[in-house]
Amino acid sequence: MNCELYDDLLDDYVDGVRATDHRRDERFAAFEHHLAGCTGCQALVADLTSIRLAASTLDAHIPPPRLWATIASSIEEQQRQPWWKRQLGGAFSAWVPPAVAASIALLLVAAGWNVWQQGRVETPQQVGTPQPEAESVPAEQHYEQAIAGLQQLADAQNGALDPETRAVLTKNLAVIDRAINESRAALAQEPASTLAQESLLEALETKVALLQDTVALASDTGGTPDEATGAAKELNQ
Amino acid sequence: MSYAARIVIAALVGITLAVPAAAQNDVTERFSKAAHLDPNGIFDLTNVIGDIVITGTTGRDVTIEAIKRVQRPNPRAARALLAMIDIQVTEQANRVEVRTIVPRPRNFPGSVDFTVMVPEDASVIVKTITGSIRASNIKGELRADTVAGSIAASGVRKLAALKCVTGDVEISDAGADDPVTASTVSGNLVVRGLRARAVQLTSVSGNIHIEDAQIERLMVKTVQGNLDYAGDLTRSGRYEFNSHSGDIRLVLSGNTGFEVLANTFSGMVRSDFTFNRGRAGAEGGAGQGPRALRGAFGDASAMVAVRAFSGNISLARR
Repeated sequence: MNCELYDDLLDDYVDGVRATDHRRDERFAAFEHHLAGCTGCQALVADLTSIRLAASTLDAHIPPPRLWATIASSIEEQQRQPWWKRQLGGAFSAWVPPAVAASIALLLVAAGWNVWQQGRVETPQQVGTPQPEAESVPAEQHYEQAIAGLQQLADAQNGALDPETRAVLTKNLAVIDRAINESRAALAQEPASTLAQESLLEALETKVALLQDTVALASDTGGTPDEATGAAKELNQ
Repeated sequence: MSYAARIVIAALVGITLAVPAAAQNDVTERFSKAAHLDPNGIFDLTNVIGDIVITGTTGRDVTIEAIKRVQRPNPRAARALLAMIDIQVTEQANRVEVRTIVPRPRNFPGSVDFTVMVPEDASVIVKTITGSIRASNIKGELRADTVAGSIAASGVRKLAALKCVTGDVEISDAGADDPVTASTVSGNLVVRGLRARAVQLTSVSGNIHIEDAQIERLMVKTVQGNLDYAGDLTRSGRYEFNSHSGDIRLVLSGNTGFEVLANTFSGMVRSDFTFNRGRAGAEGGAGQGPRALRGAFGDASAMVAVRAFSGNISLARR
């Protein structure tokens, strides 16, 4: 058996790629002929196919947009003043705490995300196979810490948001809390359920993202009084 | 208190409430400005309250038409407030920036509606706090952000990011080479005819509907809403659909082979497809129907991962 003769074709064969030039296509045909009688190569192709499928499943995860948005906004902040700051004049001091907290939260979320991703690596190959519960615990703790910090900031700045937006955000935070509670109840019922673990972490991640948005919105829209504001107030009356 | 006295008091209260409402003065002022953008320039607009319509057109000019509006009972007060609305237009280094400046952005009793024409190859960045955004025929990059309002993007060739809190997001006949994100908290997301490499769509309580899209990497996520995907899959595409309590429904043409992994904790999984290999109902309890499905259809070139917690999952053939 001259298995090594076909080493360079293996990747393309597993990927389902056929060469356009005729000579290479003949080699594919020769390899398929060889494959029919070689159990070693059959096992190798089967292994590579399963690895490819597993790897392609992992690739489907795109980092959450808010992660990139936060990084991009940090870069932008260094380059120029934000639009809302120019409008609000001396509101810079109001922006610093949420930004710092958001950065801390981002680090926590990134750490949590990392742990979560590691926990998800084996998911596609293990439908219905219980996973150890311990893997998700650190990630959950990271999220909880981030949520606690962000919630405090959001509560402190709650008055800066207009009532309708505040009501929508509150209502949707309640929706997420319900999802968190349901996932926790499911985990209590079936501690080894991968799906319940994933649902819990997903809901926690969504809550972190929404709280980050809430804090950012409150900073963007909550102005400080200035001369013109005073005049506008008078005219409003 | 007598019945007659109560009637009189009610009438007085009604009149007190009705008179100011009826006596609101709507004072408006037009604003108009033109600017120049070289090829691939950037148009950047930040508004506070008011709707924004941006259209790409031929030529190299940016034309900005705006209507400032204030409603107050006292016409003099309305005019004074109107004078406080400042629209600043800055031209610099192939970039046109427009800023609406008002004294108290959070609850200023006035608005500015913009109608803007930009060169179609320009990139557009648009933000507002309250108001809807409509962008069409933009061949440059589009980023749109509103808190209370909807976003509609059509004929956009480099869609980048659309974000709102309380409104809907609608994308039609659009494309992108770089990753696209679209999100809303309570609104719905509707996508029709989007061609892109990587797309992430998220909502908390809204529904997400995707139709006739060609996307290589798609991640769709909602907590409470339903997810619908109808159309073809891209060969070697990767698709992930997550909903906590909403239902997920995929209506696929079947022209592209795919491998599917679908799980729900307490809902049901149902499929019209006959899979080459795989198993259904691996986690289903007695009498509860199947909760997991894994299988390959055709050449299994695309990968579809579907996850719900309490929602149902269905795969139907178009």
